[in-house]
Amino acid sequence: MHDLADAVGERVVARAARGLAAGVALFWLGAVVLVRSEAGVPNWWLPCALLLGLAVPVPANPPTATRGPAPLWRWLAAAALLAALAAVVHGALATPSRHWDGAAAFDGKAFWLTQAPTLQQPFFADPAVFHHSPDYPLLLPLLLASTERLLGGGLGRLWLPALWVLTLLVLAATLRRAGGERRLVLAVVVAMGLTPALLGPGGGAVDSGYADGLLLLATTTLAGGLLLRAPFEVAVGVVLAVASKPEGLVYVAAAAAVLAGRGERRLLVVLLLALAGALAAWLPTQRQLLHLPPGCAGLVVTVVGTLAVIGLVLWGLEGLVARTRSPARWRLLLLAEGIVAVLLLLPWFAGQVPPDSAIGVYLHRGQAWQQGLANLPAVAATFVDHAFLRLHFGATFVAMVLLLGARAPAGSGRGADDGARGLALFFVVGLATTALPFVLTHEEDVQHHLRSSLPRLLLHWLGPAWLLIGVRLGAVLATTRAGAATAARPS
Amino acid sequence: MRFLLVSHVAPPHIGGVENLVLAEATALVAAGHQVVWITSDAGGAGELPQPPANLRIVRVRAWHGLERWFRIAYPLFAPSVLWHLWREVGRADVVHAHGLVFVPSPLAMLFARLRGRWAICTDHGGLLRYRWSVVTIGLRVLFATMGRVTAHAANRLIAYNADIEKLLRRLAGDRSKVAFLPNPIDAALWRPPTAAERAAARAHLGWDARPRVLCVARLLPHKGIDVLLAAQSPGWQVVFCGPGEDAMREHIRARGGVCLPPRPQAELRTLYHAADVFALPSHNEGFPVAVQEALACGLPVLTSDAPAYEPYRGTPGLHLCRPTADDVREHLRRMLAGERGLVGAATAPVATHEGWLRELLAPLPPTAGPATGRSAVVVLLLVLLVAHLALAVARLPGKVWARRLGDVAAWRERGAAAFLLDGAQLEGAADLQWLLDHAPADSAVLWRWPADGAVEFVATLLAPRLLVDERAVPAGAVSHGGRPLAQGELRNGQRGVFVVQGTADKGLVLRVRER
Repeated sequence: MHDLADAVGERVVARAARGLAAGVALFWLGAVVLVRSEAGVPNWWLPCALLLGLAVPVPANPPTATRGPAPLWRWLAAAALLAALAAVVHGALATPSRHWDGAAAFDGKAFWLTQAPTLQQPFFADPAVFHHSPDYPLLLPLLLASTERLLGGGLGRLWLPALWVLTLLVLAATLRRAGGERRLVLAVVVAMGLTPALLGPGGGAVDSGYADGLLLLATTTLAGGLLLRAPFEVAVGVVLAVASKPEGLVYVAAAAAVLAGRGERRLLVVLLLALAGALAAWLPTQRQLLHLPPGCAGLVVTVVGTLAVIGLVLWGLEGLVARTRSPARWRLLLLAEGIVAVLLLLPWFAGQVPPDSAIGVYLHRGQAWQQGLANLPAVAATFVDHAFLRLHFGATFVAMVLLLGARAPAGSGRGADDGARGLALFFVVGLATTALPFVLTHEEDVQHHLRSSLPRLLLHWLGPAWLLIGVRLGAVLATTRAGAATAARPS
Repeated sequence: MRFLLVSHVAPPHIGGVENLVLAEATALVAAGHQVVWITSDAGGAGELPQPPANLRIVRVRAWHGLERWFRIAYPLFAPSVLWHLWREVGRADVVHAHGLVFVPSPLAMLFARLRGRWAICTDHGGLLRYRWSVVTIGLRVLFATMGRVTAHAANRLIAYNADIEKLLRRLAGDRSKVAFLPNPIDAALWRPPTAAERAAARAHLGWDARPRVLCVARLLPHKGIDVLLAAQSPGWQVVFCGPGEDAMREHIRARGGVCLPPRPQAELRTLYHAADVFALPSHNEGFPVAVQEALACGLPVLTSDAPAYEPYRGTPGLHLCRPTADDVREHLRRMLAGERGLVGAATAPVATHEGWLRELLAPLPPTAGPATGRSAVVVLLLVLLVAHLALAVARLPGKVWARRLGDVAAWRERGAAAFLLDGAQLEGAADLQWLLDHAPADSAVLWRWPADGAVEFVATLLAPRLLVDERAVPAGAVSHGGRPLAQGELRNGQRGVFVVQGTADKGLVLRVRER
C-alpha cells in the first residue's frame, strides 16, 4: 500500500516539476512578446501556459530496490519543510520586498505591470522615468503581476515561495528519475530546502523578492537535464536561465562549454536551439526596455544565425574529433582555444552588447580582464568565507569539495556515469563563472561588490550541488549495498 | 577469517555479556580465526584471563559514571571509538556487535555496511524496566533511535528470548534477518558432575547434607534476591555468589542467606556441582548465562516464568514459576524432593560453539567476490548531510521565524522608507517619508543624479508616482507626460518643485528645483 502511494506521489511530483517548470518557461516566451503590444499580456496566458506545461508527458521513474522512508522520517521531513514554507509564505505576503534588489529592481516592475501588463506605459516607455535595471528579463515581475491581476490581494507574491517549492520538486523528480532511493531523495530535498541562505531572511532568500530563487530553479532544471541527458529539461533550463537574470546567459554558456567539451552533440544542439528561441523572443523586448532603436527582425536573424553557425562549427568539429584516437584530448584543446578566442574577441562582443545593459556595464565600463585577474585572491577569500565559514550554505560546499576531490564511484552504466560527470563539470565551470563579475568589475570597492554579490551567485549553484551530492551518494550507497549482499562467505 | 567483536564491557567487569563474548572470542580463536574485540576500559573484580594469541582486545576510554552512581552499565565512549571502529571494521570480514543501543553498536553496524562487511548484532537485554521510570523511558528512546539504526544497518540480528526477538523484528523492518539463537556454552567446562566430583565439591565447600539453593548473579534487587530470601525454609539454605555492594551482602546475611564472593569460572563450576538447585527469580533478563551454565552442569533450575522464556519451556531441568516467595518456596520444596543426579543425565540443551557459529553465519550468501570497501569520504558525506540538516532545522525557530517576524514588525512599525534606508545605513528616510505624505499619487517627482544608493529605492516606494529625471524636464515646467510635477512647501519653508537629490554618500535629500 505504501509502495503504491509512493509511486502515485512520485508521478504527481514528476508531473508537477516537469509541467510547471515548462509552463513557466512557456509563459515567459509568450509574455515577453505579448508585453510589447498595446494590449499587453492577457490574463488568461499564465494559467493557459501552466496547463499546457502540465500536459507534457512524464517519463516513468526506475523502480527502487528499497522501501521508502519510515513514516516517522516522512513526518519529520514534512514538518520541517512546512515550518520553512510557512515562514517564507508569511515573509512574502506580510510586506513588499524588504531587501535591496527586491525593492529596487523587481517590485517596481511588478507594480506597473499589474497596473497594465504592457511596456507601452510611461514607466517602461519614457526614457526620463527612473527604471532600475531596465534590461533585466521580466519573468519574475510578469509572474507576480499576472497572478496579482488574476487573484488580487497581494497574492502575486505567492510565486516567491512557490518557486522554492517548484525547485525542490524538480530536485526530487530528477533524483528519482536518476534512480535515487526514496529515502536519500527525501533527505537531499530537505537538506537543500532548508539551506540557511535560502531561508534567510536576508537578500536572496526565497521571500526576499529577488530573482535568484528563479535562477536557482533554472540552474537546477538545466543541471537535471545534463544529469539525465534529457533534451527537454535542458531546453526548459536554458529558457528559464535566460528569463531569470542576466547571469543566466553566462550559466547557459557554461553548460554549452561543458556539452561541447564532452562531445554531447545532441544536447548541445538542443541547448543552442533553446537559446536561439529564448534570445529571439527576449532581445527585441530588451532593446525596447533600453530605449534602443527597434531593428527587431535584423536582431533576431543575427542572433539565430550566429548560434546556428556556432552550432554547425561545433557539430562539424565534434564529427572530426570523434574519429581521432584521443577525442577527449582534442575536445579539451579545442575548448581551450575557444576560451582564448572568446577572450581575444571580448572587445568585439562588447560592441554588440548595449552599454547600459547589466552585462554591457561590465564589458564597457569594467577594467580589462588581464588587470581584473588581480582580484582573484580576494574572490577566493570571499568564496571561502561565505561558502565554508559562515554556514549560510550549511555543508553544501564542503560536501562538494569532498565529492569532487574523491574518486567517482563505479556507477550502473555509461549513461548515468556520463550524466553525473557532465553535471560535475557544469558545477565546476559554472561556479568558476561567478568570478567573472569581479574580474571585469567596474566597481571601485571590490570588497563591497564581493560581499554583496558573491553569496547570491553561490546561491544559484545550490541545486546543481545537491543534485550531484544526491546522485553520487546514491551510487555509492547502492554499490555498498550490493557489496554487502555479496560479501565473501567465511570458510 | 577476521572477526571484530564489539561490546560495551569485557572482563574483568563482571556480568553475563562479558563472559558470553569472551566465550565467543575464545571459540573463534580455537577454530583458527583472528579476533579483535573492541570494548570499553571498564574495570571490575572479575577474572582477567590471558587472551589467546589471535585475540586482541582494544579497550577504548569511556566514562562510567552511570554505572558508578546508578548501577546502569552504559559507558559513554570517548570519540576515539570512531577511529578504532573504522579501522578494525576495515580489517575484519565479519563484525559482531553485542547490545543494540550501546554507542559502538550502531557505529560498528553502519561502518560495516558502508565498507561491505557482514554485520551481526545480538541483543541481550531488550526493553528492560528499571526502578526509575525516567531510565526506562530513556532506554525506550535509545531503542527507538540508536537501536533502530543498528537494527537497520545489521545484516543479521540475533535474539535469545522471545521478547527480544519480537523487538528486533519491529525495529529492523525486515523480519527475515532476525533469528532466534540460544547462547552457546562451553560443553567441556560446563558438564554434569560424577558422584565423586559432587561429593568432593561439597566437601571442598564445607557443606553438610542440608540442601543448598544456589543463586549466581550480580547482587542487585531485580535479580529477585528478596524473593529468594523470603522463600527460605529450614529445609534448605540459600547461597548467593556474585559481585555486589557491601550493604546488600549485609542485608543477605542478616536474613539468613550465605554470601560468597565472585569467583573464576572453574571454581564456579564447583559451586554448580555441589548445589542442589539453582534459583534466580529475577525479572528484566535476556536468558541468564548462569541459568544455562547451571543447566549444563545438570543442576535443576528455577527461574521466573516470563513470556520471553517461552522458547525454553520444556527444556529438561528448567522450572518456571511466578517470582513470588510462596511460589518459589513451593517449587523449591518439590524440586528438592527429586533426585539430583537424574537431572544431569537428562540435560542436553547445550549449544556448542561450533554449532552456534554455523548457525550464526549460516545466512551469509555464497562466495561471490571480495567485499566492497568504502572510503572515509562516504562516511564524511553522510555525516555532513546529517550536520547540514541539524544546522538547518536548528535555525528554523530563531533565524528563520523569529528574525522574519521581527523584520515584518519593524517594517510595519517604522514604514518602508525608514526600514529600507536605515537598514542600509543611508541618509534620507525622513525626507522620503515626508515626500510620500505630501506628493499627490498621480504626480511625477523629479530626481537628480547620482542614481545609485538610496535613490534606487525611491522609484518603487513612490509608486504610483513616477520618478522623472530632472534633466529631461524643462525649467519652469509644471508637468511631465501629462502628470503634474510634485511641488509645494518643504519643511524648511522653501517653495517649488520637489527634487530628490542623491548625495555623495549614497543617501538622498529633498530640495526644491532651482529656478
